[in-house]
Amino acid sequence: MENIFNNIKYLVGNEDILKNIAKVPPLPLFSDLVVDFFNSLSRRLMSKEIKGESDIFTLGFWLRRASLELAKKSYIDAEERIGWGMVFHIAPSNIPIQFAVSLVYALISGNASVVRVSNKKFHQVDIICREINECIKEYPEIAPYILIIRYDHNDAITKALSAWCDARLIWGGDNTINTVRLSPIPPRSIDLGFADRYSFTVIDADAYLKLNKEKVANDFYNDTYFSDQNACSSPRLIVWIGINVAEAKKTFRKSLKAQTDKRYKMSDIAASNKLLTTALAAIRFDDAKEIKEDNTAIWLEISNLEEDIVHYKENSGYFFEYTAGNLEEITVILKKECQTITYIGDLGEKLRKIVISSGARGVDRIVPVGRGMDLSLVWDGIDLPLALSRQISVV
Amino acid sequence: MNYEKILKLEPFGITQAEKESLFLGELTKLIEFHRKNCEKYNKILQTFGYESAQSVSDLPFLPARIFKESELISVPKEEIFKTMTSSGTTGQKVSKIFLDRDTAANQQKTLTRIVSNFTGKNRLPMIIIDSPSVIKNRAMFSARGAGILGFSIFARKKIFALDENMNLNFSVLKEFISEHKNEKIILFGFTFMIWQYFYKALKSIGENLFMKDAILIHGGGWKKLANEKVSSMEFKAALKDVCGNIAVSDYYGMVEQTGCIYMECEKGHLHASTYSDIIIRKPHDFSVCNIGENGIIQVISLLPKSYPGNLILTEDEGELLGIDNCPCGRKGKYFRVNGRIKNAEIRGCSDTFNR
Repeated sequence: MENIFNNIKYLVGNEDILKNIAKVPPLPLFSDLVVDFFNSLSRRLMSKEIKGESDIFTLGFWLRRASLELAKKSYIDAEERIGWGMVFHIAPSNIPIQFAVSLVYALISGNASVVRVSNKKFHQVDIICREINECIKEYPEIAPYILIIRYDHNDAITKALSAWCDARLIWGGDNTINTVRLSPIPPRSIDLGFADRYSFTVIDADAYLKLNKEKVANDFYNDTYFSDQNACSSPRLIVWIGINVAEAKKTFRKSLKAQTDKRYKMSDIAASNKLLTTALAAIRFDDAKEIKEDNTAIWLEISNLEEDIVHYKENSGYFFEYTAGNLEEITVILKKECQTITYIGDLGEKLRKIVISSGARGVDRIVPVGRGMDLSLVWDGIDLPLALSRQISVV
Repeated sequence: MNYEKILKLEPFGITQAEKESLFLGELTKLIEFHRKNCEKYNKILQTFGYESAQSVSDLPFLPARIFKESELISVPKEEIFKTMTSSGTTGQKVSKIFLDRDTAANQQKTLTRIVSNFTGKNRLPMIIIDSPSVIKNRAMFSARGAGILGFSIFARKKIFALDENMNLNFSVLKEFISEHKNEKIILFGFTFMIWQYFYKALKSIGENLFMKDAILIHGGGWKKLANEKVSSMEFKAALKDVCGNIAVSDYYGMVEQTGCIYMECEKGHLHASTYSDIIIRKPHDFSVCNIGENGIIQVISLLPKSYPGNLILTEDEGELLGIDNCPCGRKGKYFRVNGRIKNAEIRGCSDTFNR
């Protein structure tokens, strides 16, 4: 048992902490220790030394005391709740800061955490872990609760940690989730899988034409190109409604191009991937039409909305486009895979009504364009502080 | 001009300017043929918005991976007599290329025209640096097996240098070489196999074949050898070190355009033949690169008829070295392959845990 852990690299914590991690006492929801710790981390993540890392800044902003205390208010029974114990996290490889978000969910809920980060090297991971280590010096009482580790694919380690955990959070594709689930967890432990999802945008063309185009383009860029259009919440399809759709499309493409020309460097392989997606989409969807100025943005106009569009997920700037006669047409694609609808125009409540009245299995978030990457304690329809804690009822 | 007539042209004898006008005409006709006979291809060109083109570089091209994701056929299914697959590793999708008799025959004829420009008209004794088991299983007709069978046509007499378990058959090899010591000998194999099971084996037993006149033709790519940090120069020097006086010629080719290989000349340059061509494109917008500029390699061939594979964007990067002016005297474009397109740094799919 001992030697399997020799292959672990510790970004935060050490082997002694690992040996005790399943025994540390759980904490209440939003405990003072955790809120103080995050508040200090927040200041560090938003400090001047870490410049130009907008995702780290977003994380820091989310962890401010004011923001956490506001969030706490919606948990009216917080005083009656306590964490399950230890949470084992398998972090994803597409979003650099997601490992930290997952850690936040567990700590806020009162749990100790073992976070396995992807072997893909992200500088954001190094920065955040460095700052966490600094904060632990300030709050040594939290040290037994945080382990951030890397290890190569190793079933023995995954098995051991799974066998210890009270809850397991797996972020990744279907294959990742199925592979990790081959390692059993104790009978009463909780297993949450955050699989790859599909997201799309709905734009009211007439409302869009009244807005500041540059700001919209910047917002849309942040939801898409910023993470190579590879986040679960990155839209892959734009559904246009309204009267002046043709004009709006043209303006939208032009102002987005102004953003990508300034900020985006596409990988070479993306050019080849996009060509393949166009060819495959052409075979699948009748009368599809490819529009592009160069390979940075490919617009694929389709003339029918069919449910398997959710399987066509290209990245790095590849957008299917559909012009709908009415908003209800989107119901065919509200499948279980659907996560986020971002929108422009006065559409939020209308979209929620459609999701609920059509009895859709999918769509957990409806947010304005630009807020696709927002952090939230509710994710994929799950209220994490509730899911990761137990309520102690007294009668 | 039908393909028979084109094959009569000298394999490296026509200038780029002559080739451009020949290719524009022929490819335009081929595209129309495939559009009529392959509905999927027709839909792809509709989506691209292709109607006509004024130059070869404006003609529409397919991504090489489409042959892994979709079955594209331009003749009635009953005319397909052979399906070739790429040699993907287990679990990976493989390319499927559908051949009718004409296209298969033209592949062999084209290969013969190109390679005999390097080896001469006569058939020669041949050493295949591979295991005979590769061609035994005809049901699994892989690119490796197809390459060996294709090149076997240049053999008057042939032996396999490796046994079923990829061990070097040194005594057989030695005997064959001494039997043909006054003749030119062809050695053929795949770059990595040659390095791993032939060169390393000879080196480890400390033997030299002392060949007097031989040409080693090898292909299949450098990816695995690049992992071992072996360059083309080192490969050549190493092989000469264990074989004696031999010429070493790499070739570039792919299952999607079997037969139309790009041979390396005495100056170390890969050459497009009269029957095929390359265009180097910029990833940013697929516009054409200048000489010396690295980009994605597009391959063009007049050969494919039973499937729409005349214009294909590969996933390799390379650069054009020159046109019509290689010191070896061959006309047309000559180029270098710089490896596979890097696919590392896109933040990628979130599957971190998958093997």
